[in-house]
Amino acid sequence: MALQPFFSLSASNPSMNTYDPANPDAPHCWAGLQQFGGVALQYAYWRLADQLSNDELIMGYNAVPLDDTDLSSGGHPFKSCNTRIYISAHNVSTENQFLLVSQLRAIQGNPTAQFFIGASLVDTAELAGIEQHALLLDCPSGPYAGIDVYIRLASPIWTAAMGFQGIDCYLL
Amino acid sequence: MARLVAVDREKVKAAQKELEELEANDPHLKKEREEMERRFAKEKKRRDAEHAAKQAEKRTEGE
Repeated sequence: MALQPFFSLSASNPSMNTYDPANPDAPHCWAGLQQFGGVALQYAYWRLADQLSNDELIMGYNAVPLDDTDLSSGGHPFKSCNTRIYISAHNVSTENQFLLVSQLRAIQGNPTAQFFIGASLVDTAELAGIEQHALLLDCPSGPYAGIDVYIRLASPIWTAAMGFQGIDCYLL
Repeated sequence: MARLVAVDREKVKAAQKELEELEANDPHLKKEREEMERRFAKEKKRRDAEHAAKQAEKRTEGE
């Protein structure tokens, strides 16, 4: 049986509320996406129209150096090319896990994706072509299992660019 | 090919704490979280009211 996503977010669908009043005790989530660092260039081969039709946001020209592991470097997480995934899950237990699968595309300048949980860097991945990346998290505790995930662009070249093609979360 | 990284409960707990500290020092981040919570809670209320109205309608039809 195919596993249905708990939520799916992309540039064209940046928020999701899966609450069903007919099943108020069932696991549900409120999830949102915030992206910073989109780029349009007069001479580039990517256009906003293409991004719209492909549901892909191209982020670039503000990559942090590879050795920068501070989410707030530059003063604020939003001052770099960053995707923030906000998760608030209800009626889940700490025995559950979130499997977060994001799809990214390398476009220019050796882009590396940095993955943060909260403000902690948990992984980096140098991209080559279209790549999927999965994070398996133990469910956070609390009245609602709330956590933020950030995916940030890093590169030795500040003009690096990568595409964000969406993220799916599965509840295990 | 997909790459998988596991983050255990202790790391998640630490991350939650870091997030709280980050928001405590950044009113904008905190405000955005509150705004998202407010919007989602409003939508929950709307769905609950819509569901209650439908249930009431069904009961009236049944009588």
